[in-house]
Amino acid sequence: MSFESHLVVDEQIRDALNAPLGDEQPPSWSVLVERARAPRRSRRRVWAFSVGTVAAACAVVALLLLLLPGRHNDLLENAAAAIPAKGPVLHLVYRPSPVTQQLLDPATGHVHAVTVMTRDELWYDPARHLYKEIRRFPGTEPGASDVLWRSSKEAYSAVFGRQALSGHAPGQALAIQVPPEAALFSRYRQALASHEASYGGSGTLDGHPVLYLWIYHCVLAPFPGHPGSSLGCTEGTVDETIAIDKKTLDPVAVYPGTDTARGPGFRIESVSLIPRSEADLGMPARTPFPPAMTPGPGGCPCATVDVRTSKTLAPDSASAWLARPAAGLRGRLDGLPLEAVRGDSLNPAGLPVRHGVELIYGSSCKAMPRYGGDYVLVQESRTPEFFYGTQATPASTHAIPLESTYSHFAECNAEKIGFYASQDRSERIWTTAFRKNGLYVSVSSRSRQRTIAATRQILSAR
Amino acid sequence: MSASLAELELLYRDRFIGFKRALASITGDYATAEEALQEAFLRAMTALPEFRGECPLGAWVWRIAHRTALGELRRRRRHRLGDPDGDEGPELVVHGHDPRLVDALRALPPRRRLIVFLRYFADCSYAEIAAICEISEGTVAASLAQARSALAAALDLDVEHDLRTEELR
Repeated sequence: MSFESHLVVDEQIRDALNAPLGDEQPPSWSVLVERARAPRRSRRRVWAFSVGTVAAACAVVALLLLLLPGRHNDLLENAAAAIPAKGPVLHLVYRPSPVTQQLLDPATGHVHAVTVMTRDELWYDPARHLYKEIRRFPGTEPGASDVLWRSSKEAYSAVFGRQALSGHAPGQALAIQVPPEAALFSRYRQALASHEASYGGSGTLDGHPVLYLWIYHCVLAPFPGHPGSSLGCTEGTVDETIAIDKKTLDPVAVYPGTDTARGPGFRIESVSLIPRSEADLGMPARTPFPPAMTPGPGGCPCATVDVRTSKTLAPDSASAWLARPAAGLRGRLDGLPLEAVRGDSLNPAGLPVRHGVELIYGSSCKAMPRYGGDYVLVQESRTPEFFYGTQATPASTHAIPLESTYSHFAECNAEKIGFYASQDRSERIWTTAFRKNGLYVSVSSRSRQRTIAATRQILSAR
Repeated sequence: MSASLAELELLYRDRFIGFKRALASITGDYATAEEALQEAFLRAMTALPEFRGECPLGAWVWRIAHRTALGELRRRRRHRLGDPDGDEGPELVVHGHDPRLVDALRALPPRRRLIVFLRYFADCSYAEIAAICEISEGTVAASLAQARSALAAALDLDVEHDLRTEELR
């Protein structure tokens, strides 16, 4: 369902729900204000009584909790003991899961969907700050995979190579970010004891009773174009839910958020803590990525990838910055005027410079796309860059990945870029990735149709 | 960041009816919902200086209204059934609604149903729903996408079905 059809359907659903109820007006605001000003002695008395009652009840409940550990707490404690612990390195293997990808034929504008199976395996050594994740595509090409590797100083992808870390200065080590389930399982017992995870209800999975464990997570998203900044931490958000088999106490599935009714989740095949000698935590070799597959948005180690520096360029400097003609540079794109050009350096500290260009058409703010605006963002680089969403797709343009994801932007008038400036400012965008003039190009906008049209316009130009 | 009385008044004028309809799915009738909502706005007025902007103002008021409504509900159930903590999900208060829509809503999991009511009755933004339900905006979007497909199918809306989930991992 396209974004545009969402709007139409939304209106129809809204109408179906509201129309039978007719037009109504709220009660008078001024009457409510008068009520607020009126003496409420009796209410206060009741309130005082209630406070006393509640306080007493809380004391009793607290005492009971101390004396009688909850059944769920027992279960979770036992679950913590259920993970085999033979060493300090977490080893987590998922069962194959289907991932659907949309592919655009730029010649016709037609989009069709393909489904590929993915199978993830990860290792995490918290004491050494090392993380590695292998994503395989079983049933497609032998050995087809991407490998993500993270230390506290750098991120590396078998497809994208070394990537700059958000906020990373030379010689500075960062707290390593790993998927919430990896962080949880690597220190399961302590996390449960310190309430970093809590009981989230119960249900059934494949006919087996399960209990749910909520993991709270601090999400630090990078802020495009502003090195060293991030979008802040949404404390208290339930980031993932783990389903635990009530009988075996094994973790059996991971769900994003709390919506366990939303499909099968990511099924866990095995989870264990293994010795370092048995762990595969070596840095991967560079490999070409299989065509028409994406590493998936939001992979945890890559969520910290950022540009190192960013500056505004004159439009005629864009090609010089890239050292070849910028593929998406023109006066207008899909009817929107060119508003800004940014030149980014994308290399991690200490590595040869990798330049990239961001072209902003239409609604912009401080030489960046304006949140909620009608814009097209074109990002180009000579190497595939995770930060740009450019991909190692083949030179052939018959099948261009079309992704829908969420991007974060600061409000134009935000006084501070970064922490807390724009926590709630994320919006859905559509992105394509392709190659043109030897460059890796991504095109993003809030409209699926506009993204497709802009992509076709860039590709059709000589 | 705090909010002014003017902002609260604006919220009242814009959202009172929508909030009432969404809240009725919890209280089971519009009269109780309206009463609870008025009480919530009264409390919000008093507590406005304590509002620090950690969440959208609409989400804050909704939480107060929700607590007020649940309190009233528990009081009633205690008298009527002796089961103050029944775990029922929000239900549409049917008022001449399309029976297919009603069935489709009943088939949704309770949390997703609440998200639907908050979105389509109260016009809550994804950020507000995320703050109310304590989930991520991505989960809100995904929940709404699935609910939208189910409701659209029930209403025979002519859409291309695509249950692709976009914000995973």
